[in-house]
Amino acid sequence: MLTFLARRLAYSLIVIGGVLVVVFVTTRLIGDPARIILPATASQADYELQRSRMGLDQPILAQFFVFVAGAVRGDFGESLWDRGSSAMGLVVERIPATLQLVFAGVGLAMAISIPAGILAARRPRSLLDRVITLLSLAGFSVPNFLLAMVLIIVFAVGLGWFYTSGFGTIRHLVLPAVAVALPVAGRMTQFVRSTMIDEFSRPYIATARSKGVSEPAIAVRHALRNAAIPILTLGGWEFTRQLAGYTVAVEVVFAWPGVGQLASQAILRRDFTVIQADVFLVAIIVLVINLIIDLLYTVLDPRVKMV
Amino acid sequence: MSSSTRSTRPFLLALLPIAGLLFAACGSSATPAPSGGGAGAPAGAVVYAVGADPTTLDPQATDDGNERAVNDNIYETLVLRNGATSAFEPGLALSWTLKDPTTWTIKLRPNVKFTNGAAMNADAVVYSVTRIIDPALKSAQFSYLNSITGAKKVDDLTVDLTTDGPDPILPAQLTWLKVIDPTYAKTADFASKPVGTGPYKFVEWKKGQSVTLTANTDYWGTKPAIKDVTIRVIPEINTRLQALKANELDLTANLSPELMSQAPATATQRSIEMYEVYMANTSTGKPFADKATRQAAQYAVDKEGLLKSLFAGHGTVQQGQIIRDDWAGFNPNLKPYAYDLNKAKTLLAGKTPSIKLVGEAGRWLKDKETLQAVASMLGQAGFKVTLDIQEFGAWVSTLFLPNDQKVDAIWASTSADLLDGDRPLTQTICGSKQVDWCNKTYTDLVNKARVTTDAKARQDLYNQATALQFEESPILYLINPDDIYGMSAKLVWKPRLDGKILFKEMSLK
Amino acid sequence: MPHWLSSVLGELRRDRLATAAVTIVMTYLLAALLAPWIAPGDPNSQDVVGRLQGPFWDQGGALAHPLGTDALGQDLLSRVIYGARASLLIGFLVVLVAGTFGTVLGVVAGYRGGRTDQIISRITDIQTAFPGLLLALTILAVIGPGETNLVIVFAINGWMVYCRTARSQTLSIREQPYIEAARAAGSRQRTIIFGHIIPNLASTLVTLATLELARIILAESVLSFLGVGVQTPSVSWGLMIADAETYMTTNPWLTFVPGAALAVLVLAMNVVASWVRTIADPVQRSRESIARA
Repeated sequence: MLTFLARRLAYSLIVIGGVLVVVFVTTRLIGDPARIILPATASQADYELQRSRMGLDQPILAQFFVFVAGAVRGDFGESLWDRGSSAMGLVVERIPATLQLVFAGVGLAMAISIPAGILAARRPRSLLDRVITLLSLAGFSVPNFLLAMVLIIVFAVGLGWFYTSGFGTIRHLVLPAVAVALPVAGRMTQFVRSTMIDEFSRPYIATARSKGVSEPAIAVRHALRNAAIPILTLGGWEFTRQLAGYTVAVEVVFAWPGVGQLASQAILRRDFTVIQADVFLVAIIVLVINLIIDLLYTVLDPRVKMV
Repeated sequence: MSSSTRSTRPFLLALLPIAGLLFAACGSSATPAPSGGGAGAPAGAVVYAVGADPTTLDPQATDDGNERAVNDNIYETLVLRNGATSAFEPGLALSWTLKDPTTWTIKLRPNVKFTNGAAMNADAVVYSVTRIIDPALKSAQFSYLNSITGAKKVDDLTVDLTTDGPDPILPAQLTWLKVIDPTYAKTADFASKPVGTGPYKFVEWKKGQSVTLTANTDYWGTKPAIKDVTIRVIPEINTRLQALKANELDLTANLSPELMSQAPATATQRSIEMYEVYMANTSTGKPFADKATRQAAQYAVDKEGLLKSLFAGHGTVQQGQIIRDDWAGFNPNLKPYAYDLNKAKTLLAGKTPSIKLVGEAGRWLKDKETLQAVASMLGQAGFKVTLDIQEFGAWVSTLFLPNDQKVDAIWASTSADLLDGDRPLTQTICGSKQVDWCNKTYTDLVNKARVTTDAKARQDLYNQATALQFEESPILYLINPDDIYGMSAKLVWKPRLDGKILFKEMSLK
Repeated sequence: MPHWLSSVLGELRRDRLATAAVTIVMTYLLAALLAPWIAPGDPNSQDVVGRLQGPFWDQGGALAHPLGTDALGQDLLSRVIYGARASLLIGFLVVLVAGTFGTVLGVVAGYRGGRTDQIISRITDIQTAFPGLLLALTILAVIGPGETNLVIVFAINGWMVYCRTARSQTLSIREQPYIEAARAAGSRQRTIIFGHIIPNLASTLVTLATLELARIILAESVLSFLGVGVQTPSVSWGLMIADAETYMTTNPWLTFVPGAALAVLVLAMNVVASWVRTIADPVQRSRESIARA
């Protein structure tokens, strides 16, 4: 167990190193931040001064070491626009909103997909199965930004049930969470269905049936319990996938103050310290969550080899 | 060209018919009744939506419309403009007089305090001036104030401002100078928690969400009618419209003319934005190096048609100059290049110049559609146009490329925030970073006008300069679209001529 | 008609939903291939006077523009057809590049095992941990938007799934008795890989590629909507939706047409993928029958 943990941690460090290199290389290539931050009328001398203030006149390798030295302390420097604010601070401020959205979205998706998947798996190729399958496929065939715009027009403006945009209350959360949830629910329903079909076809189910255990009890107490680990794993994977950028469009459309909206704004303003901090922090969170999933996996399922 | 977000950009004169009707229906001017008129204590709340967070809340650092939406209500300037006539009015200064050709004496308003209790006096003004012109601050507003060389305290309520030469537009420049508290400006909170002398006090900035303000009950001037103000960030234009329809907002800028019927109420006003295309021409071999080719482009674009179709007529065609007809420096003798495809083809004389046309999308009202339409019109005259629509950051970089690397043609919007021809004309003198054009005579005329205080002599210089620029055509003159605001049914407000959005001038039905 | 084709067609006939989905995908493919011949006009030809026309059955619509015109008077039908071209071209190129690269690495890792496998698997893991779309957004903002760059970014982000699948499949195929036999008989490595392993991977990879194609077409629309994807004057559905956003309540048709074109294609591809999976996997099929009982 300990060796497993040590190996996983070492490998996470390699990933972090890789992310740092990629982030540095890409963001250093972005336009010319010194030019963008200066007013239009700035002189060439102003420009040189600005470059040296930002360390952009140093050799690229020296810039990289300064960057890594800062990064390990979570210090990516000041935002190029929001003077005096640390880039990492700006990102950290936005993390809770994105986590809230992703938790609500993936949670909702699981609440939809587990019952739907079980229902479909009970009678494969029945009419109900086909309807559920088609709906779940449709769920991840619609782009989430389009879904988001339609939800606003129908449920916020038309029916007036929720707010069009913003953050704070449950009435702000519902629509963005649904926009995140539907595509996830579509994929998960498919997965729950096939996993449950596997379980239903196992001999122990037939045994349970012959003992007269009721069908709902078979589905929930036996089959679902055995299918729980893969389903939760997929849930975890969907969670990290949403964090890794899939909420950007939803956040932008709903004016949700998360890291996705911050990232899209930072990219437009070429605020590269903020972009670096954003990508870096998200990568760390994704790694930590994956680590937790792996650990849970080994704890819950002793059959998993600890490699 | 300022790098501000236009969503919070203002307004100028002449209300269009629809707004006229609206205000007629309201039965009164939008400006709240002055104190003593029974306005009473501030009450109610207003929500205004902008497209992006302020970049900072330091009032002197950036040139950013989202920052101004907040700080125009918290800080005050020495000089104001009348909202309806754009005539100068006293702000924190009671008077400004020319002591000698390069010195202005400013008399300050007594008994004005910052909301933290500090006194607004000569020391504060001297510090505000010194800070903003200090190269170390790298203020993006510096170009609005770049003739000022220093400030000296005379007594507690008198300051002498010195300029690098006679400066005819100093009062206009002073409408940009926000006065700050010297002690507070040195603290860490200054860029995030602004403290000013104005009608509103800062409450909270939730990044990515909103900035909230509350009425300053100790304000020296007319007390605001509205107590609470929220400036919300909503990036998507469609979401802003939907939020307005769902009564979550009271005001949003940059509404498309097609959507005016969708908003509960609207107001329109001439904007200070001039859409144009710069044609790079100093190096031989560039497609626009030849004057006839540049003029062919002028004749090829149907400015009227553009305005009628894309903007539903909300705007005006530029009069062969980037100065609007009501700004100082306007040359009344110039008329726009007519739309004349045959003339354009004659000027091209069978040539089919290949040009790269660069622009951006989403920053200004219908910027992308305008650019696409212009590209298509140039194509009809015989140009082979390669359109390159870049995201904002890349476009800014392209705009400021050195002259030998300039793209053939680039779309831009000039904003004349001082309501004066000086800035737009200065942008095309030799050595300008944006426009690849250098004409000695023109440059001399503009530079001379900058230091000519006699209004008539200055106008005469501008007439010569604009006529010369018109003939040489380094700029493809397009249109000056109106700003269109969507409003809630309960908001009473009349857009100002200088384009500032001042919540103290709003009230609720 | 070859045997496999007739058997696939036979399967297809039994599943009406799959038949419909295959027909839809084929129609899109044809439309994309034949765009210059079947589109009524140039997708970028403007007519600002005739802008924002409704479809032909609507008031103010005309047969000259069967689906009406957009905010610049460009023909909507032509744009949707050319949009199919961009979406499918980007999708296929990405699948081709990422699929080939990922599969080769996966097969090599699975077949060779040992150190090679270790290294390839670690690289795959590392890249999988990257915040994919966020990084794609960043890279596109750097190298600039456009179709070629989209293909590069998606391929960089998309090869891992092929690698993992190919590796695990190869691992199990490698242990099959007939491979052992072939190896014992002295067959060359190349012959084993191309003669035995790759053909056995085919159905899994086709399913995966179809799903990935659908995913990439969706992702392209998201990036184009956010402004870092396909750029005017190229046409893409995501870009059309972004351009139509202003008019979403006044002319919902402008959003609906590209939105529906996109959703229907992606849905049809997903249906095809799930159908291929069922016919290609006899185990799944028998399980479904047992579970039914």
